Amino acid sequence: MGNTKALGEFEHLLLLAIVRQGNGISGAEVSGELASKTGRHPARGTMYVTLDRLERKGYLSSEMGDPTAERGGKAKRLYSLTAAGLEALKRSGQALQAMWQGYESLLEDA
Amino acid sequence: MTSWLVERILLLGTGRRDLAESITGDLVATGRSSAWLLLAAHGIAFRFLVDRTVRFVGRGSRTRSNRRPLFVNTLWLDLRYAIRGLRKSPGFAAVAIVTVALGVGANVAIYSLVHAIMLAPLPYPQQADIVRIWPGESVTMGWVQTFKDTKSFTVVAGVTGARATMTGQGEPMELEGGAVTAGHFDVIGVRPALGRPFQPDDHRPSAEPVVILSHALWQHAFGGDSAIVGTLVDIAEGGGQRPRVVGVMPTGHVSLNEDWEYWTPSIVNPETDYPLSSEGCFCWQLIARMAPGVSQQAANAEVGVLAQRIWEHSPEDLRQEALATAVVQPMLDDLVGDADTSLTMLLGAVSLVLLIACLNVANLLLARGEGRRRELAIRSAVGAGRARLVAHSLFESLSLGLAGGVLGVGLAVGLMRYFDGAIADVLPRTQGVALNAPVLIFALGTTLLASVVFGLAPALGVLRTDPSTVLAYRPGMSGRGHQRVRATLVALEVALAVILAIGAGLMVRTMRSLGAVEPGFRTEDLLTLRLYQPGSDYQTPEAVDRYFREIREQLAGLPGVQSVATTNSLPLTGQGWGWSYSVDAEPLPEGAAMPNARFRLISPDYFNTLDIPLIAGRDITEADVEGPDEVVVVNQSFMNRHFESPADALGRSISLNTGHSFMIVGVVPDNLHRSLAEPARAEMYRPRLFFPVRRRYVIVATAGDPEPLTPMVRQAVWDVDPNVPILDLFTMAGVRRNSTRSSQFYLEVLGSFAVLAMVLGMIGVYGVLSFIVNQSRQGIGIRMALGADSKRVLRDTVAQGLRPVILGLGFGTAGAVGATRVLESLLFGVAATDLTTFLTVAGVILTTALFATLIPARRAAAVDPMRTLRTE
Repeated sequence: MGNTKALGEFEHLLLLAIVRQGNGISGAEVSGELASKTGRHPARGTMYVTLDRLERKGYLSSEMGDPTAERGGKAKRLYSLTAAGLEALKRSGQALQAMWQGYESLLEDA
Repeated sequence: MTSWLVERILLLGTGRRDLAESITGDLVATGRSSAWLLLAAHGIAFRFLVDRTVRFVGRGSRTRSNRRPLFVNTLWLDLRYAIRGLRKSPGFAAVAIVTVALGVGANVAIYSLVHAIMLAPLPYPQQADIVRIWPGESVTMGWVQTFKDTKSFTVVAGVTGARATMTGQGEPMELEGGAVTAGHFDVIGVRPALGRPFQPDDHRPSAEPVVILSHALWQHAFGGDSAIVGTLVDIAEGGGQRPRVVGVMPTGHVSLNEDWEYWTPSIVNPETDYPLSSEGCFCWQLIARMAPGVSQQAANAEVGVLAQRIWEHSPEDLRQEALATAVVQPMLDDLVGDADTSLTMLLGAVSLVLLIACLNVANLLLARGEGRRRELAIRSAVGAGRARLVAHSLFESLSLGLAGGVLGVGLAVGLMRYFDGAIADVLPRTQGVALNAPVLIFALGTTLLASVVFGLAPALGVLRTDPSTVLAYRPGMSGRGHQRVRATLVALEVALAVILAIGAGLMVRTMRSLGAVEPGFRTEDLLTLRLYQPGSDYQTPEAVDRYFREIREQLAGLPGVQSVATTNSLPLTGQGWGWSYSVDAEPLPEGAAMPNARFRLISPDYFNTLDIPLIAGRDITEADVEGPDEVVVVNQSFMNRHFESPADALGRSISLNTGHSFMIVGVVPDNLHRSLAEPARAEMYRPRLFFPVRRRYVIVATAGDPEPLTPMVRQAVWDVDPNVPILDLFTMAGVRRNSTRSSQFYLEVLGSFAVLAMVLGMIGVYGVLSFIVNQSRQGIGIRMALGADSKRVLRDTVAQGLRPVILGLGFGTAGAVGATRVLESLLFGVAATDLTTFLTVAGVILTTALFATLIPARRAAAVDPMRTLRTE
């Protein structure tokens, strides 16, 4: 998509959560993954706004799933990583790694 | 509904249908949609209020929002800021929040009653069409027939309550239930969920007895086994065959009258279509479904004409009472009865409490604002727009309100638990009292309204703040206008507290009057118990009489027992049967109702045990129970209805419409059998009945405190027959106390409101005066330096503090003259404008106010002129 801007930290985390959980995951599941791995509980609004922005940037694609009874007959939006998203994630990851190089020992007691 | 609303709000906020749906789904799946909705509703209302005010105030100011969408997240930023401010003065915040919580909590609790009792519809299809026909009295079964031919109703049915004992399912249980005529299930529009309703054949005398169970009874006694339909069960209303279960009512079905657990069909004579059993008993209630297109006035007119005809030849007192009360009214109104007056009264009282709480918080906020004028001035000077400051002030009030509201709902839950035990005997339809959605919405509305009420004055205060004058502000120079506002608030608080206190005072007098009523019989040193003799050896009236005679003899032999009697209906329990009769077998015109009177089955020694003297004639004897059945004793009201004098009554004959006739052998004075607050009615006392009366009360007169005799009495009952359950065991004094339970309840509720109101009011008096004293230290110092002595300062300060109290007292008393009128129906033996009560309340308020003003006044008197002047 030609967007070369680096990902924000939160965006980065969201995309990683989708990579870890696999494509076709709902906002709530992204949130759950984030909570279990980082202990962060982003506000629901923040979550959806960010997912929305990532979709507009072309890093995510989404579709409505099937409504289920336990959701009161409401469908949920399911998010998948796009090729551009993967590309952006790689770039951000590499940038981070490059910066970390030589200072990994800092991580040990952090 | 919830999820629909949530989705709408989200759609409004996000403008994205898919997101709204997705988030709604998340909330529903995690069970948080209701909580979210509650918060969002608060948020939207907050935002709306704040936006409106800010726009109104800040025309053109830079804080004017550029119409941001209503997204709840931004709310939290504002709220967080306000909360941070409040946390800096936790004492102030705690007092304000608790005050709001008390006001909101009491309101929510009372509203939960109002909703469940007055507003929630009956759980029947087209419930608005179900009516109760009251032709002036409970009716005999024959009248169901009379009313069936009317045009106003599509179907008319009779119901009558009864009790049965169930055995064979563990412990023997007493069940509430009753008999219904054909058509009952058509009137209520509900059919059994399992099995069938009653069919015409079930009402024939030769039919096998059948029963329909409530869902609850089916669940807990029969384990919800659907094979129950068609089997025989041990539910006995009084001997006879075991009935067969033909149906089970659906879950959640509530019977019209009480918590019925079973229904039986009324048995009808095929010749006349009239019911066989308890034919002449005035114990049936008429229910009906309105015909389409018939107005209630039309139905009332039709029933009125019928009632005229029915009562035409009745004794004057009966006829007038009956015609005055004959009415057709929606079932819901009928069930609510006069509870709506008392509930409206409680709601009015409790809103006064909330208003006082609001005034108090407003007062606190004003005092706090006074202390923060400097802060405001600085913020204003460095560029905070006025609108910003007002918004902040409002948010502070709203956060206090929200916290108080949440705490208040918790408090309401506690109060509702107290109600649970206290109201079942006092108010109808209490099963539905719960913290449900309508009650929560009310809580939300009340909280917001309260927040606006108490947030308004401080917000306006901010508005009026002029930075240039405020920066020059020094403590001790508070404006007079400001003090006047606060004094006015205090005067209002006192006025409202006076109204509540007078209401409570009137209830205290009512309880006193009820306590002083002479019921016409003894209530001390009596033990009462209710026995049920279900045994199959006791099939005839004579056999049951023999059993109760043995009980009397056994108990009379116990040490400390003076005498023993039995009766079918205990005084002051409001129970009793009415029966129609004629005097000297005078024939009545066709279609006319016979007069009726309360009918009591009593044993020999009844009048003696209850200390009721005879006016004329003789008492009932053992020979009347055993020998030929031919005597009756009547009371004074009965005698007055038909005869010139007691002597004239003796020897006359009374015939029941069952064909039985008796001779009057005695006359006793009237006594308040039904309730302490109701006048006596015509009564007949009979030693025997023509059907077995298996449930009777035993009344034991003792030489002293009856309580210690309880174990011996139990043993004596079981010595006669170990299989007889003792159903209720009370002292007569306890029965008397119980009969005034509803007055006691209103006294407790109004009393606690009044105390709360007075405490809040006095806090207001104290707070304002302390503040004034603190502010005018300098002035006092100067006065004292110029020669005023401390006594004079004390007197002046007290006078200053009492001024709003006296003003409030005046307004409150005037208000109470009008307001206590709503109490009238609950009062007994005291007028709504009772001077003693008014004066007492005024005295109490003045005395407490004096104490509240003394503390700050003494501080003022202790001012050391030198020190105060030096600090300046």
